[in-house]
Amino acid sequence: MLDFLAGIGRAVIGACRSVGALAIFAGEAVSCMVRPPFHARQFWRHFVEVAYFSLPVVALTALFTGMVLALQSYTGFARFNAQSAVASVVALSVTRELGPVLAGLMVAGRIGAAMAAELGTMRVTDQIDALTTLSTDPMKYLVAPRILAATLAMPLLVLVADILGVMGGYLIGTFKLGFVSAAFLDSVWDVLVVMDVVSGLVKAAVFGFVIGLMGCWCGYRSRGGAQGVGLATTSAVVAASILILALDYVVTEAFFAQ
Amino acid sequence: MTLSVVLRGVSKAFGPKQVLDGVDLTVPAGGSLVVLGGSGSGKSVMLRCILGLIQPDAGVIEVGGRDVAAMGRADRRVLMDRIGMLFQGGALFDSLPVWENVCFKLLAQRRITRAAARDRAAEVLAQVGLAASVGDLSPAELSGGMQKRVALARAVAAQPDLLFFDEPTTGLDPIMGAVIDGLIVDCVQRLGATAISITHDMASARRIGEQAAMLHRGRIVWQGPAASLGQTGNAMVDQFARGEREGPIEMELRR
Repeated sequence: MLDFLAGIGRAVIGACRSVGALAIFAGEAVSCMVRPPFHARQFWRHFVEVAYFSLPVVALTALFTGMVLALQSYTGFARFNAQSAVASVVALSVTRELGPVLAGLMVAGRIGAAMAAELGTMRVTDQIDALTTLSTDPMKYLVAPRILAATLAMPLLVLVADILGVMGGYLIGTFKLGFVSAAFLDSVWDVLVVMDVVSGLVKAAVFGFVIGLMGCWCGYRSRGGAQGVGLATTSAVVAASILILALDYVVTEAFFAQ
Repeated sequence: MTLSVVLRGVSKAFGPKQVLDGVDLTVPAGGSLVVLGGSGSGKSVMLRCILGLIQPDAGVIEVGGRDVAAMGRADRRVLMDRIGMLFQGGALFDSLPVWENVCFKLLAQRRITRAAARDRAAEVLAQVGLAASVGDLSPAELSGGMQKRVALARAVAAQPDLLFFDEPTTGLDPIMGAVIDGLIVDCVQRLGATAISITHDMASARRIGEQAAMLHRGRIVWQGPAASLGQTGNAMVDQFARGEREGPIEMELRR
């Protein structure tokens, strides 16, 4: 019994220690973002990687999600003769919720994993230690530009996802479900308010920060060769995905709780 | 001005494993020391403690007469500006071309423009026997020997006062190992720098070191001229230097 309790105690202490270390890491990363020297070339490289090269996967995800959402809500609402609400539901769901969350999950899989794998490989091949001996702070050179790039690129991706998600619903609505084009678009414009889009973009920035942070944290701390890098990559994606879903609730609560 | 390195009672443990157990070592300014020791004897850990990459549990490390542990961030950065390090695996940055790897420190310190860095890289690559065209290649396109040369070029490009070499010939054939050793000796002499190398390659130790020390079970068990390796009178060092199976080291392993 005592062993069992001691095991729980050790796990709790270990978890607290990890959370504390992560908080210090995040604080140091943020501090490095605002203190010179700045590594603009590194930032730009990662910004292009996140914003530009993630565009196809985020765009396709948003487009098909909007299409499926229109179909599903139409068949559901038909039971209550509320088919006219399809455009509103698509617009609100995509901008407030599905755009940021799905883009976040896709980018976590693509970019979070890549960051963890790259930094993990650099760690186990001594490249991070080499940076220190070359008068360069690895937190400034490797971590801060990646987190900043993910934080700033995600809102742009989500903006595109919002547009394409609504477009997917519009395509299905007008070509398959028989909505009049102008009426569908009017419904979208009528129902959307600025805060719907803004809340989605704020979520996107938060998710971007989390993706960058977890990718860098897991990669930076990886140990033990190829197995360690693999574990870091998996951990980065899993942790970022769970945090995205948890923080989605927190941000939604902050914006829309009455 | 070159830097001296002094270690007094340096200890470091990882969990229950005591890796360094009161290491005392002195390398005078301008001296060249080779630290010998078997795999897992703590050579790399000692080097990382001197560089400040690992914090020792106890003891004092002085570089240029200053306690490394007591240095602030700014002082440590100034110290790093004067240090060059050749890592065992090269540790070249995959995402950068060779020329940018070579001049990384100069670019990081804003001491040089990118255009001038290309010229400087070609100059340093020539010193390690590589053509200027290698500068445009990625590290992944180089052979093991070329990677070691590029890593050496990176270590010396900023003309450091203190150089560290971690297993410089590991993974190389004997001829390439001798070439790298020759380049190391040339670079150290040209810079007039203090040099600390760690290796378990005896031929390399004799070529690159003036002095040698043996680290065993976390302690320096012998220090003397590198030329005397194999005839030091210390049974443990002589066994290691001759690569003999029977002897005090093997007997300890049996126990």
